[in-house]
Amino acid sequence: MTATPIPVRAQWALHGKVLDDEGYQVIACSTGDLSKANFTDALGRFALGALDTLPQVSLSYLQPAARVSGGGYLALAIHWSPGNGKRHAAGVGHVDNQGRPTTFTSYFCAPYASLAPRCLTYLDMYQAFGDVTLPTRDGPPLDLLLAPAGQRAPGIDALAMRVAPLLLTGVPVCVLGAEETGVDERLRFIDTVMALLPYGFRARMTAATWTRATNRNHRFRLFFSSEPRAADKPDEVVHWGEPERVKIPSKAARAYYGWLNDKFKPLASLTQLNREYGFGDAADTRTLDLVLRFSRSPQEPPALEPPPPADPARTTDRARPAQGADPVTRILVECAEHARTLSVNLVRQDISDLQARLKSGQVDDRHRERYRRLITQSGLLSSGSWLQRNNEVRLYETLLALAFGLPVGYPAFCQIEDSLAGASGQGVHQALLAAIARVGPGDLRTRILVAAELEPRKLLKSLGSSGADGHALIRELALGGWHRRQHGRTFCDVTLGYLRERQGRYSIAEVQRVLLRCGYLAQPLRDIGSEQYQVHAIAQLLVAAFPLDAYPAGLDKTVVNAILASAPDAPTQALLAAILRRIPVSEARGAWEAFVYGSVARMNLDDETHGDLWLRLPSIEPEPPAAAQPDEPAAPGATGAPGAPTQPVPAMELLAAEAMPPEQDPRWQERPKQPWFPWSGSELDVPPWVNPGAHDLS
Amino acid sequence: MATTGMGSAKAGVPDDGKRTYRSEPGIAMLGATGAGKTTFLGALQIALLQDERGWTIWSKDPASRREMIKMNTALTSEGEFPLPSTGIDTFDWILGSRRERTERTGRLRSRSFEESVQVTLKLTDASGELARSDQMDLDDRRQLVEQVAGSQGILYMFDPIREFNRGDAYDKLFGLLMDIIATEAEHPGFDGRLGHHVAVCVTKFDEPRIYKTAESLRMLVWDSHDAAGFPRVHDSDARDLMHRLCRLSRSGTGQAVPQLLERYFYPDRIKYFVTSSVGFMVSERTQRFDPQDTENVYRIESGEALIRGPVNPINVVEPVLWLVEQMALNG
Ligand SMILES: Nc1nc2c(ncn2[C@@H]2O[C@H](COP(=O)(O)OP(=O)(O)OP(=O)(O)O)[C@@H](O)[C@H]2O)c(=O)[nH]1
Ligand SMILES: [Mg+2]
Repeated sequence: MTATPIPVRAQWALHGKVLDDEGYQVIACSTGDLSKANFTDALGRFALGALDTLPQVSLSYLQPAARVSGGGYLALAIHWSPGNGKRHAAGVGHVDNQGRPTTFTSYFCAPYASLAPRCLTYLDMYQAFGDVTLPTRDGPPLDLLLAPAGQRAPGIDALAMRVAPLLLTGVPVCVLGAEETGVDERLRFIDTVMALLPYGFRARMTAATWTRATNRNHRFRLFFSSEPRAADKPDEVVHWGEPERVKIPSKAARAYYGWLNDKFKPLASLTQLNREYGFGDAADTRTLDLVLRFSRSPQEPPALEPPPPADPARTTDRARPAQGADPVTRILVECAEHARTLSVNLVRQDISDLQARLKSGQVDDRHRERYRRLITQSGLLSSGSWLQRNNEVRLYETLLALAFGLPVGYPAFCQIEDSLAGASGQGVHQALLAAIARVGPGDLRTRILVAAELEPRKLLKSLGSSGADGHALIRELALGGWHRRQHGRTFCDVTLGYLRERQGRYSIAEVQRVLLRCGYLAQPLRDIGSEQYQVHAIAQLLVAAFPLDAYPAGLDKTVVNAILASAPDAPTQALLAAILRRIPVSEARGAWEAFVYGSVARMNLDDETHGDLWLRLPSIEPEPPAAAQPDEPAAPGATGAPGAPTQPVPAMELLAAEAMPPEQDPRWQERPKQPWFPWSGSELDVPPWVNPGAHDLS
Repeated sequence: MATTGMGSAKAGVPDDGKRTYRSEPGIAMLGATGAGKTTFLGALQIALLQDERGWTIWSKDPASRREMIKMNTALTSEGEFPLPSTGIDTFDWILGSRRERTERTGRLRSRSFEESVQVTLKLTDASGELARSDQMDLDDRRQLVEQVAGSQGILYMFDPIREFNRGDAYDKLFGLLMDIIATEAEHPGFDGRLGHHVAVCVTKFDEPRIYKTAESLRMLVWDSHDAAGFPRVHDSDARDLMHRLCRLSRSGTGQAVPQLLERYFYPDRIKYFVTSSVGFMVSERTQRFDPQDTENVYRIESGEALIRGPVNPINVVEPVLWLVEQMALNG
């Protein structure tokens, strides 16, 4: 049914070139409220850029200087070329005096107040204005009849459903990949998007059915193009026919999407329910049941009439709980689908259902395994970013309990990370970390890894008060066995930070003992960091065990020998390097010898191979006790500790561990083996406009 | 990669001895509508290809890349000129080349390596119409002024034929310069002159009227290595030729264009070139340049201008590389 046409007074302008003047200009315009200058300004504001496919349509608005609410105009411009397709003006030339094809623009605007009450759409306008042939002389405004295409429910277009909320974020939306569509189809899309927003937004809407991608400065809010434009503020880029790729960034816009989805999806679904249904007894109850069932499993449109009598053989089959009959599995599958279609209410319902299932019984390992697989495959652990934060965390808590068991220990944490890495290539995101923190990390590793990501500032404070002291951290590091190098690295950074922060508050003797027992972590560190990092970490550990103020002279020979030659593990080069930084030059030789000795002595060789190796190694005998120096007072806190200061050494001779950059320094970042030497930073004589990052070749 | 040999490699020099440095100067194109700005850009790719210095051009920005390919194919394969520009097009193109370079690596040692040079050009090509006085209040005009003010180089396209027919180069340039200066004047230390490097290109050299003028002034020179025998006007004569051509300006103000430029920019930062984006027509019979039939453009019945033969750009690479070099030297 078509509604009665509505009379609309349209003002117009024809923009293009006339033969004797090559400049683009308003060739002719209506003699209404709007002047030539108004039109020039309006047309200049919304250039599409030179396009080789015409016609195209652009939509905008015009606000008269005296801003009266509702006194504005909606504008529709048709950009066309006389050489191809319909001519929208009489007596205009084809090319300019340079011999270049001319593009004309027929610009129409109609009072918003006459369009809004009847909800006239852009398509309605295009249909009416597209038929007008404009004169090349000024003339009166046009009185046209616009036929609204009737009260229609907005067509449900999955992409439009997402683009409408995107527009609400205020960021322009660029649609790519629509080269194959016609101008009508793209205009219809713009109309559909606008139909999913309050009509009033049209009063400030700007859109174009195509723009040239290198024309970067245009102000269209919704536009089609061949490539994204490289603007300072990036647009939201969506792809024609690929609604599932659209991510809606803002929470409020996601909520709007959820609302749209809850409202419009069911209406759209009705068109899919197109088996033949008959009216009859209790059609109302049966229909209601039908749509509810359909909304839970849309893949299988249910039949309205009772199903035909089943094959007896299959009936018995049904009675047995089939593989897929596990209710949790079913809800998980549905939940994934609801998350995919961003249906807030349904996901919330799913969470409650799953929690109820959890309460009602234990989950055995076989089921847990199955849920894990399902959750990994459907990407459920990263699917909730569009939910409100508390709902999102609640969703993950529930999934963790079902698939990984509580509390979440290190092996489970690694499984979670692996499943995310497989699904989306990302690490464990914040909401999921929050969920793990809430359900309780099962061990020290998980606790540190989660807290280091989630609230690094609070982490150190929380450690002291809960008994996870430095020793526990060191012992954990000594165990090694990190699933990912980065885990060990994070854990080690936290440990180093902790030791630094707590210096003076722990027993040095105890730390020395713990560290010696694990060879200053030299071997475990090899698995978690570059050589640069290892040296840095060991240097920090040495500072923790032998604070600089207590050991201004550096480490003495006994200590060096103990660390390099008699620790349970073979020393590493990094350990040697770190120690060399803490001893005077004159002591270096002793350290090399201890290193060589320790390296060979800790090798696991049979006696035969070992043979007379001893004779050929430096002799690292326990030193005779140093002659007591009565007038030399022992350093505070160092009494009785091995390595008590010997001869004071000029401070410059010790490469103070503090002189090295802190962990946050970019130089510590893992990167391909590349030596870092202080003298390698000398600059090239490149001109000043060269990018600062120009040397960075990694 | 070996990590021994303390300090044998400088930071940023990988072991293959190659190094890259990049830069990002902006170059804005100015000139009246129809002066040949967009055509010049479209011809840059082919001009680089024909140039012996081995520069390459590419782009990381998909939009700039697509337009480069489109413009290039239109010119070379379809023989079509670009459409009149509307609004402001911005292209991010990267010019790349390699050069030999030697540097000290220690007190006594030095080494040579091949250095790859990359210059990202942000090229602004606006419709020449934005220079019109009635466009002054338009948004696009304001944006153009800002972009020009923010660039380091300007390619000013001067079309002598248009000057002959309309003579409006001076007015338009003056109006635009005033706007640019007004923007720049807000910066502390502004001394009344603009710091841009300006390559002034006298366009459409293949057009018979321009060619004949240069010929009658005995400004033509020939490169003996050039197989097709194309003439050129040496850069040192370019300003003179422009001056002479401007004498024929319809309004008589054309002659003042060089003075205008030299007053508002530093004269030592301006260089003149005589260019043709499509180059001279090559005689099909002799495969050589024919002084009696130079123009490489013809019009079909509808009035549309098309390119007659192969495109052999004259002085298209030079102004761009000159600007790049100046900007590199002076920042
Ligand atoms: N003979 C000759 N004509 C040229 C040359 N370059 C351009 N033209 C002509 O000049 C016309 C305009 O060139 P464009 O490159 O579109 O000019 P523009 O400066 O970009 O113009 P706007 O985009 O309107 O500002 C072309 O259509 C050709 O007809 C050339 O090298 N030789
Ligand atoms: Mg152009």
